[in-house]
Amino acid sequence: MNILDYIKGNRRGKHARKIELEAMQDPFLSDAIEGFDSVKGDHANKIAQMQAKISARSSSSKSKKYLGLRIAAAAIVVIGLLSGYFTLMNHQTSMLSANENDGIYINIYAPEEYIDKKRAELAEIQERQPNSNPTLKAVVDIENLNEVMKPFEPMNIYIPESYAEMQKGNNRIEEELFSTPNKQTDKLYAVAEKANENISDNDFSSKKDKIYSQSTTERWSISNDTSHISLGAAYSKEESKEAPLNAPLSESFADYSLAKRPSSSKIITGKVLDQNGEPLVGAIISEKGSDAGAVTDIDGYFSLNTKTNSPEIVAKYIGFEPVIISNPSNQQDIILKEDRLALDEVVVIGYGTQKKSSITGSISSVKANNESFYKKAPVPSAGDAITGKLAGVQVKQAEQSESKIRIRGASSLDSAENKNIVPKPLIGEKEYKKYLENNLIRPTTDECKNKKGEVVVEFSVDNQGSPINIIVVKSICNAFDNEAIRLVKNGSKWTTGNQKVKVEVKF
Amino acid sequence: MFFYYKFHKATNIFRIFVFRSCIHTKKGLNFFKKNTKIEETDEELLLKYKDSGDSEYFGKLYNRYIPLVYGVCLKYLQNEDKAQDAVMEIFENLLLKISGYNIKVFKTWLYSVVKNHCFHILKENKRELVVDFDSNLMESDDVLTLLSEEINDDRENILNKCIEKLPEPQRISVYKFFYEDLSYAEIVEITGYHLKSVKSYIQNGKRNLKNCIESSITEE
Repeated sequence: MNILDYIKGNRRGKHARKIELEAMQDPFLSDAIEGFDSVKGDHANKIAQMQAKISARSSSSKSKKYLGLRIAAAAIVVIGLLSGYFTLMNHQTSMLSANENDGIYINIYAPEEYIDKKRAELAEIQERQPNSNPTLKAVVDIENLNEVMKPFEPMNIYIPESYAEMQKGNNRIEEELFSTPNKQTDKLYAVAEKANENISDNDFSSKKDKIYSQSTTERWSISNDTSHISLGAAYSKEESKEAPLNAPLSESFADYSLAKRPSSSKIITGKVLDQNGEPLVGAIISEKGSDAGAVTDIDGYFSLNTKTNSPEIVAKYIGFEPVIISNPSNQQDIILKEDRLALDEVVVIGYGTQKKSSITGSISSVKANNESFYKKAPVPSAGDAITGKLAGVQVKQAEQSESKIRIRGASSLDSAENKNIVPKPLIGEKEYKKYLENNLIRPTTDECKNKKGEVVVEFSVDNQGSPINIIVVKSICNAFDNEAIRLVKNGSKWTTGNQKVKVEVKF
Repeated sequence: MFFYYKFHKATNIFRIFVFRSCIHTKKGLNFFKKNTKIEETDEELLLKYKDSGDSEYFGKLYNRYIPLVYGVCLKYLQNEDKAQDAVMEIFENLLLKISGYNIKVFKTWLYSVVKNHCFHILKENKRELVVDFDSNLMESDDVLTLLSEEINDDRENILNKCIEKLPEPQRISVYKFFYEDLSYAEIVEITGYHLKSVKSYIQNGKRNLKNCIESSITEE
């Protein structure tokens, strides 16, 4: 076996051992093996490539004897190309027909539900005006969009009426919304094209969404570093290299908070990898000193809008050491090292399920269906997603993009969150003590004969005032303990509080 | 469509024909090649290069070591692309400069060249350098020979006694590697130790054996 086999992964058998034995004495070999083991990749292939390169570089005129072979190889390649070309010419797919479109306009993928909805609307329109031929108008057009976005069906983008109104008056707003300081980029042009003269804007005036048509002279310039569009769930892998452009297509446009787009900021993009070059999904990138944050996607790419122009960004991921980068470049890749401390086993404690009927508190829920989620721009955390959706649930954006979720009770005058309240007996402490003395039934078991003292029990108070999770902290004997527990259980109710209560029962 | 299909088929047949003929000629060439090939040593190739200046000799020599050079570069640079660049850079540099050196053993000389090159690259990028401290290697050479070869009786006795004294994981690992002739991967499989643990058990075991044997010898 030579070292190539060992590199490829043949680690068993006499020959592998021989190499390992040799490595014990040869530092060159052992270093090389370490290198191959520490970096992932198709090493054998790369080695062969390099050897070929070097042979080519250093070869002399002796290579003429292979000339015949080379010519034959070239002939094969040419014939292959020709047959390939004929293949393509005859091959009809929608992809090609999409390609044959006029180069200016491109199709964008939208979530299926959206497509169905729009189709329904279109059908409705057709019903009302059977003579017309309402073709869909292309409204958004991206220049220089790198290949990837080739959907199977062309889809056009509709702009909600509220947004359209906004656009008509005010060009400045669009600048604020979409432009970033970095202007030398591809421009995203939104152009409306009248495919069919029969349709005018008024046809759709009754609908909530309006097809916004604009003359071709007016343009929205949405400058962005790339050619990427995200519509709800539509993401393209290759495009997520740079800052995603979030086109605001939600019906409730007001939800899209303009405040979130800072006026002076940088957009930092990149990917987060571990030491082996594998992307880390769900790593958190945040800006120190502000609440700007981003999360890496399935390929490890992130895009962070920072609040200042010279930010300090932190990349964090569980199990890895955080990395702080001051003054990152616009395209910043980050490599995280694994934490030295090995993670011990993690114990998950479940508290079981409760039937809704048995819960006395109130429950408000939000479902993650399209209506509420897909129309909005992607958010960095679950907390952000439910902001404002549930009554009584407040989500606060703390630093480092970890949101604090608070449920009711935060807006009282006394806003101390973590006040420690000790429950008290409703009838009063004196009365409670009397109750304990009077109702004590002294057990007469053998175990507890002649025993004296105090049993201390500890418990929490649920929100109805009853003691729960009663445990014996200081015990004397079984029967006494049980008696103490019985007394507490049947005793008066308590005021609510988050601290535990200790009760002494004298015997 | 039908015409196209026929055309395609025709090209396929043509391709197969040409391919076959290529194989035949290649085989023929190989046959001749085999008869005339001798295994040249590193130093011989180097000498030929120096004398003739024909880069083909050096290319051949370097190609032999590319796996090792690439591996070492990967270890220090931790990046496939950078490592590949380094391999090619080193080749270019050496092609020019090697004539000026008087090299006894090419392999060891090449090793230090590669290491220095990598360190140089790392230093350019960072002020700090993270290098693994290899307390590996080069320590217990005599132990290695003891374990690997047939030896006479009294040394064998001492060796056996010392092996018994080893802590269990070390003893097991050393025994399995040197006496049962298993490879690291196989030992990992059988014992359940991690790969790095096996390596360090063997390493420390060898060191302990060395100390034990030496002290036994001085006692006598």
